Amino acid sequence: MFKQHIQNMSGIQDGYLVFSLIVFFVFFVGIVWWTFTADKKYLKDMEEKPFEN
Amino acid sequence: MQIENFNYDNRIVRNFIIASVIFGVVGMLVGVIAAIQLFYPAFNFNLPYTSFGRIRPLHTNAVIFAFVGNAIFAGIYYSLQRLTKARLFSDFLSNFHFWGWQLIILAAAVTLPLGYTSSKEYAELEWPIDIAIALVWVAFGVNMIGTIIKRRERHMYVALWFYIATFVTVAVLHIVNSIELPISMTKSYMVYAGVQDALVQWWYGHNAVAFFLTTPYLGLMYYYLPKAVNRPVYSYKLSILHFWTLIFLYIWAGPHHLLYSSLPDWAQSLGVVFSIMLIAPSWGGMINGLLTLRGAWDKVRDEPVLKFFAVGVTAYGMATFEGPMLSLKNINAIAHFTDWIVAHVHTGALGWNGLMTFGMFYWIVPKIYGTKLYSKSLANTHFWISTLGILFYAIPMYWSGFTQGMMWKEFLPEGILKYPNFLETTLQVIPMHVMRSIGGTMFLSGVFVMIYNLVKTAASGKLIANEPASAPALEKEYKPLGSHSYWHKAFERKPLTFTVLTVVVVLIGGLIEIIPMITIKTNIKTISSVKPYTPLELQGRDIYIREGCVGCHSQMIRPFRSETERYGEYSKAGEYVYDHPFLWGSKRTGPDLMRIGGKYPDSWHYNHMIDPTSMSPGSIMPAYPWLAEDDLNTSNTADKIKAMRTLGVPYEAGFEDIAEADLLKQAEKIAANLTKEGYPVEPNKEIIAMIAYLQRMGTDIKLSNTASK
Repeated sequence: MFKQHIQNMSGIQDGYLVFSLIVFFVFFVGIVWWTFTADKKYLKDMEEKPFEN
Repeated sequence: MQIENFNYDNRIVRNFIIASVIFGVVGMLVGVIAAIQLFYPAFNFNLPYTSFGRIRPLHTNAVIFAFVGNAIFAGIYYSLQRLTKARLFSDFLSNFHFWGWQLIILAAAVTLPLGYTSSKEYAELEWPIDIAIALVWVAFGVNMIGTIIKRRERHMYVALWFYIATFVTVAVLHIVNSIELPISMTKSYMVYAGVQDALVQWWYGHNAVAFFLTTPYLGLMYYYLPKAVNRPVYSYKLSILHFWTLIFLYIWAGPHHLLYSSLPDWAQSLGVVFSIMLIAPSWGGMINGLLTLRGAWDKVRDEPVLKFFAVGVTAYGMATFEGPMLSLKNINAIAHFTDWIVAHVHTGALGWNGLMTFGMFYWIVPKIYGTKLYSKSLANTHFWISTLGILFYAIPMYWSGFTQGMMWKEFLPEGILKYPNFLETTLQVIPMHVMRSIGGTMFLSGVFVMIYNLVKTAASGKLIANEPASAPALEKEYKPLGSHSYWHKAFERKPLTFTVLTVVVVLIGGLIEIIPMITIKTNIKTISSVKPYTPLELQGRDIYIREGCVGCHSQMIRPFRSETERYGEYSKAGEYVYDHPFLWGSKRTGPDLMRIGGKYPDSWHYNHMIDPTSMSPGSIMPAYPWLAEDDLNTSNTADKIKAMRTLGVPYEAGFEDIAEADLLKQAEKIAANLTKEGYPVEPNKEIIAMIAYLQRMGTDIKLSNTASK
């Protein structure tokens, strides 16, 4: 199945779809990196926001 | 630290709740009527205004934009004020937003039955209403972002991000998909044609689901679910991760609505890949919602609000698993155009949007009336009626969808279709349609139980229109939360930066998908024999649009043997280059009409339109007797030709001056033909234009045997 998709994609401008996948990948890794390095205290405080009222 | 006193606006929340409930009843009632029409066509009442093609968009618009829309605004305005510790930015904007939105809904309720429609699904309203929607939407956005800017709480809780994403993305989608060239106050042509229009439409359509039915509700879930169960969300990390990935991924997935169509293969593949990836962020949201209930399931047993939320979030999980599966080409080949899609949509709409809305209303109303819910047992009754209603709706529709998909594709050993008459496959699923209407009626009756309960609740208390609150003013100096600083925190306390960033993230996917389609003409092979419509055919096409034929008939033959055998040569992208708007459709309640041209004599169409059962015994198609009675309005023919030329359709210069005469000549020929076949009709009747269009459809390449260049 994946082979078929990749073959279909190769027809359009070189690298266009690869570029879009890289854009997504970089974005995704960035977000994962953020969540894993996030400060515990900060997350705890944010979680409690709905209960302040 | 200075403590400031202010108050929350609860009246606007109450107003939106009332509007949501009233329009919810209307929208669902129209849905039930449409459902009954599909097995009992007499329920069309032989009137133009109540025929299926016109009330189907009325139903979808009413439940999406009126019921769900008003519920979103109620839920957002209640939680926004409390999460920002500020009253709404402007009372004037709040009221402008409320009344403006209700007027738009009323305008839709009048114009759709009158047949004023762009025919683009979930974007049917004509251009003046489109402009009004844009204005009111901007008022909502200014009011929301204004409130966030004057907040007394430094950090924006995750719910607010979802609200912001909703506002900006819906604005972008609405504007891009509504670029039309007006002919009159009630008629316009899409600037996009054929394949491009299809791609823009489903980029819009898919993301209307994403950013009108999903992101606002996820935001609401992140506020109301923790509040109702009185414990924080399961994982704030997960909420950040799934927010960004969800808004980033959703926007790419639209082309999965067009698999096996004439859309270029690469765009289809892009849609499939990103649709599969969408499972991850969608389930991130569902898991976060359900796990917030961890260790509190005893509360779910006692608290009807939590029951609604638990089943609502579960329905979201089911629908968002099914969506990616449906976007696999092999599954889509069977499911597309069938009732399976209707079942899928309603799992989301009734389960996720419906139940979440009900749970939210049961929670808010006692709060803003300073009282307790009138009856928990009635709320429980409502929960069970609506949950069972969803099952009675969805299960028969799945069954029906599988049945249709299989019957359409079944061959005899001799190599001919087992069910060559499409009508057989329609009649086979009638019992399922009857059951579905019962499920829908159950769901609707549950709403009446809720109305009684909420009215009683309100009567037992008094509306706290301006709820007093106090909070310290926002400090000028920012003291970071936690021990050290992270970049995401910086975005979160700068709402405008955050909003811009959200737009950028959303646009990346949209641009990557759409730019090549718009700019590269070579994506569409031109076919020399494909010519613009004659003036009469163009008028006929506009009647086809007015009557909402596209609601039941596709114009897209997929490249399967089962389809080419049944309908003829599969559809080519180059055949649609003059179609402003495209009319591919998304559902086959009746057969595909791409190659209907020349298949039957004119008199067959005449009889079939006046009484479908005369030609197809047992047909559930509504009758269109008014087409034979009403005169065709030809006063706008020249304007239409001119508008089409502006959009790039190659009518010769000066053709608009002779268009009227051309139209008449063709009409007289068809009328003479009908008279010869024993049905005397005057050439100036609407049905003549309709027949002209039907007889033209798909014939361009039949004549020439696909002269592609």
